Amino acid sequence: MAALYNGSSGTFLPVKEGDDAMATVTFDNATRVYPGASKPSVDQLNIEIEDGEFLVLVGPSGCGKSTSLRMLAGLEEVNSGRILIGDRDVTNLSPKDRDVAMVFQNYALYPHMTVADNMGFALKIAGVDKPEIRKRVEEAAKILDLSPFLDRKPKALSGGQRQRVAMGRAIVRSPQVFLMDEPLSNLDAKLRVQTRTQIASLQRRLGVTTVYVTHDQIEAMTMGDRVAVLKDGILQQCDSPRRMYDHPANVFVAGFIGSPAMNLMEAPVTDGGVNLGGHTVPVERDAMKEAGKQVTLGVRPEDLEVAEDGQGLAVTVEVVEELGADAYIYGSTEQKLLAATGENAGEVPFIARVDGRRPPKKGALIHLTPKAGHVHVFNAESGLRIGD
Amino acid sequence: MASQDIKGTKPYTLLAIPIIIWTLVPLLWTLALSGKSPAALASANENTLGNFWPKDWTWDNYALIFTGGASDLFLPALRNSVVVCLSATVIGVILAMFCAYAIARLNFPGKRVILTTALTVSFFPVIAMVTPLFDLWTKIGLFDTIPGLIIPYLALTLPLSIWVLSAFFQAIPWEMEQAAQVDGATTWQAFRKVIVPLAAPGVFTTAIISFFIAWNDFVFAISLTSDKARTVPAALAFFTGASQFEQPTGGIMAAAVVVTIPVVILVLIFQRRIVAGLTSGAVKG
Amino acid sequence: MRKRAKDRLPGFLLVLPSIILIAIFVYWLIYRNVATSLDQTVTRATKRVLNPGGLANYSKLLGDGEYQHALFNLLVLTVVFVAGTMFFGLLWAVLLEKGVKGEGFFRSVYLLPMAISFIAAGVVWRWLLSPGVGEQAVGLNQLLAMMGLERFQNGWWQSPTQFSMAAMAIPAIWQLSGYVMALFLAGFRGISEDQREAARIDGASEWQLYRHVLFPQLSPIALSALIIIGHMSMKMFDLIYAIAGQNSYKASVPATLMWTQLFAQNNPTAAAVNATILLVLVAIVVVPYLIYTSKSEKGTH
Repeated sequence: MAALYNGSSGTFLPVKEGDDAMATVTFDNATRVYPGASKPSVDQLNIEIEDGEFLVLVGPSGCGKSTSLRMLAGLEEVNSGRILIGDRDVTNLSPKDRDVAMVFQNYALYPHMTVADNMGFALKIAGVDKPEIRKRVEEAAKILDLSPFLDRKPKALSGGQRQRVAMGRAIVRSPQVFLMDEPLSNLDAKLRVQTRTQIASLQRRLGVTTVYVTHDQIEAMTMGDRVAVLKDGILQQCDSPRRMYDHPANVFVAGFIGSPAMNLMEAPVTDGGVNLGGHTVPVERDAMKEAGKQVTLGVRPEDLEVAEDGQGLAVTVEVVEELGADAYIYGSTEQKLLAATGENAGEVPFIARVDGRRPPKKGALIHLTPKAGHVHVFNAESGLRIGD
Repeated sequence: MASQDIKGTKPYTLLAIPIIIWTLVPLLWTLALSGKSPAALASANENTLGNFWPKDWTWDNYALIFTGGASDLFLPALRNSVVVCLSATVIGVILAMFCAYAIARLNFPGKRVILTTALTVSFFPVIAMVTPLFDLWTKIGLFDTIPGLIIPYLALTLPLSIWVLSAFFQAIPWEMEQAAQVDGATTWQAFRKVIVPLAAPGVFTTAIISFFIAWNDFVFAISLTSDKARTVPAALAFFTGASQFEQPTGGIMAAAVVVTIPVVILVLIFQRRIVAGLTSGAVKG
Repeated sequence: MRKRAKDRLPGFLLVLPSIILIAIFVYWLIYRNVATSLDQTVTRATKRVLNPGGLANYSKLLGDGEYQHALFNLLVLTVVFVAGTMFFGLLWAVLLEKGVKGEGFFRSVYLLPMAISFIAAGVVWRWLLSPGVGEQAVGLNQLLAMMGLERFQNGWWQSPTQFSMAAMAIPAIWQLSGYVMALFLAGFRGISEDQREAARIDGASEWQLYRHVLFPQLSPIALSALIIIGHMSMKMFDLIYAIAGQNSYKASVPATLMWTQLFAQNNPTAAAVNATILLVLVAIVVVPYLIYTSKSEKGTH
C-alpha cells in the first residue's frame, strides 16, 4: 500500500511501480452451483485478466455474469475451481481480505452517512487516521466532481451523483481490482452515455484492473479492452471487441454482438461454397470439410450490397428506417432465418444497411449480396464457427 | 435473507432454543398447574420433572370452573367476555373502516390531526379514565352492564384500529377500482371483486388486534363491573381475592388456560399479519 | 377531483362517529378528571378536610409519602423494564435476522407473551415470584435451586430492599421483549442486503457492520420502541395487581395507588389528582415524540 502513495503527482492515486501493483485476475475453472439447482450458474469459467486491463463480462439475464463477479468479490461461494488475484489464491478468503472494491448496481450507499463518510468508510475501518482520510476523500471527490456534495446525505443527491459517490467509494480505497456490477443501468440514457466515457477514461488514468458486468453489448464493446460473453454460465468467447465483432466464435456471439444484429440463416452447402438465395457464396474448401449438408450463415447488415443485376438473395422490403446518411431495411426472404437463440424464423426480419440517399421503397423486391470475405459460417448443429 | 452460508446459522438456532424455553416456561407452568390435584399442589411427591408436571393429570380443575363450585363465577364471566369483546370488535372495526377509508381516499379538513390524535389517545393510561368513568356510569346507571363495558372498549380499541387500518388502506392501490370499471365492471362489482380482497387482510388484522386488546383488558373490567357483567379477567382476580393461602390455585390456572387458548391459537395462525399491523406505525417507509 | 365543500362532507361524516366517541370518552373524561381533581372535599365521618381544593390538592399529593414511594417504584420499574426489553428485544432480533430455521415458529413463540392477558400471565408469575426460599422455595426460587444457583434465591418484589420493584420488571420484560424484537426485525428487513455486502467488501467485520451500518439505521426504531415501552411502564396496572394483589404498599405505583385511592380510601379527588399527574407524565414522554415523527413524516413527503 505504501508504494501507492508515491505517484508522480504526490497523490494517493494508484501508480504502477515495478511489481508492487501487479494485480492480474484469474478465474481457474471456477464453478458455482446453487444448492438444489441442477445446472451450475457459472460453469468452469476460465479467464485470465491482465494487470490494468478493463474486462467486460456481458450476456443475457441469467447468464452468470453477476455471479462470476460476486465470486471474485467473495460474496458468492466457489464450489470448485480457484480464483486468483495476482499470485494469491483468494478462493476462500472473505471479501475484506481480498483488497477489491465494488460498485453496486443500486449503489448500496449508507443512507445515514454523508457522502464524505460513505467514501471514507473503508479507510476508517482500516484504521487510517482522519486527516489522511479527509485528504483522500477530497482528492477522489475532485476527480468525480463531488466536492460540493461532501456533506450531503445520499437521499439529497440525484441518481447520477449517487452513482459517482459509489465510484468514489471504490476509488478511495486504491484496491487491486475494481468490480462494477451494471453501474449504469439505473441512469437515464443520456447520462449513461456520458458516464460511460467518464468511467473508461478514469480507468485508463488510474490503471487499476477492472472487471465490469453489463447486459448492454454496446457498453461492452465501447468500454472494454476485452469482452467476455457468457451464456448459461458458460464462457462463449473472450476477445477484444474488434476481434469479437469480426470473428464471433459461435452463433450466439454472432447474434448477440452488434446492433442491428447479424442476419443468421440456414444455408445449404454446394460445390465451392454455400447457397445464398441461388447465389453461391465462396467459402474455403478446408473449412467446408466439417460442414455437412447445411450450415448457418451469418452476414452483418452493413456487409450487404444491393445487387443491380438481380443476383443474390431476394428480399421483400417491409420497413425502411431512414437515418440520414444510412438507411436500414427490414424485410422478409425465403431463406430460413434464425434468431441467435436458435428459435425458428418467421418473426425475425432480414436487416440490411443501404445508402440513405436512395433507399428502396416499401414493398420493393431487392437483391442483396454479401461483401467478399465478410461472411461468417457456422456449423448448423453445434453453432461453432467454421473457418477463420 | 443473509448471504451467509446455511452452515452459519446453526449456532444461532441453538442459541434461540433457550430463549424459546424461557418464553414458554411460564405458559407451560400454567398448563401444568391447571392439571394438578390439590395434593399435587401441596406436595412434591405427586409430581415429576422436579415438581413441574403432575404424575396424574386431573381434569378436576377444569370441571370446577365449568360445572363445579366455581362455575357460577366462571361461566357467566366467559359468556360476558365473548359478548362484550365480539361486539366491541365488530362495532369498532366498522367505525375504524369508515375512518380509515375517509382518511385514505377522501379529502377533508383535519385529516392529519385526526390520525395524530388517534395515536396520541392510544398512549393514554387507561387507569386514568377509570375515576371519571366510574363516576359517570354510576350516575346514569351503566355500571355493571354489558353496554357499559362495550363503550369504553370502543374508546380503548378505536384509536389503534384507526391508526393500523389507515396505514393498510393507504397502501391499497385504489386506481385498480377504476381499472376494473374500465374493464366493464359496475361500481359495486369493482368494489366487491377488487377492493374487498385487497382490504380484507388489513381489516382482519385490525379486528384481531382489537379483539386482543378487549379480551385482555383488566382495568375497565374490574372497575366498571360487579356480579352481572363481569368478564373473565376480572373474574380471575376474584378467584384470587381474599388471602394468599386459601386459593383454588388449580382452578385459577385452569381459568387462565381457558382464557388464553383463543389468543394462542390466533397468534400462531396469524403471527405474520399481527406483526405487520403492530409495526406499521413505528417503522416508516 | 373537485374540491367543493360538498365533497368534503362524506369524508367528514364517515369520520364523525369515531371522533364523537373519542371526544367524549377520552377528552371529556380527561376534562372531568381535571375538574374533579380541583374539588374541595371533606371526610363524611369526621368532617376533616380531605382535599383543600384547587392546586393545593396537587401539592398535597406530591408531598404525600405514599405517593412518593409509588413514584420511586415507578422509576425503578421503568428503568429496569425498558433496559431489559430493549436489550433482549434487540438481541433476539439480531439472532433471528441472521436466519434461523423455522423463523415463523420462533416469531410466534416470541409474540405469545404479549398477546396473553397480563392478568392470566400475572397469575402464574405471582406463583413464580413467590418469596419463599430454601425449604419453602417454589417457582423461580425452586428453579434456581434445581440449577444449583441457590444463592440467587431471594424475596423478589417482596425483598426488604428499596429496589425490590425491579423484580416486578421480570414478568414485564418477559411479556414485551417479543414486541421490541418484532420492531427491530422489521427495521433490519428495511435495510437492503446490498449495504451489508458493500460493508463487507469495505473491510468491515460482522461487529463493525452492526456498529457502523446497521445499528445507526435502527435508531428511529429504537426511539419508537423506547417511547412505547416507556409509556407502557407508566400504564402498568394489571400485572402488578395480579402479582401483588390490590392495595399492596410494597409494590405500589401511581396506577395501582389510584385504585386504592378510589375504592379503598374512598377519595376520588385524590385519585383524580393522581390520574392527571400521570397523564401529564405520559404526555411529557409521548408528545415530543409524536411531534418529531409527524415532522419527519412531512419531511419525506
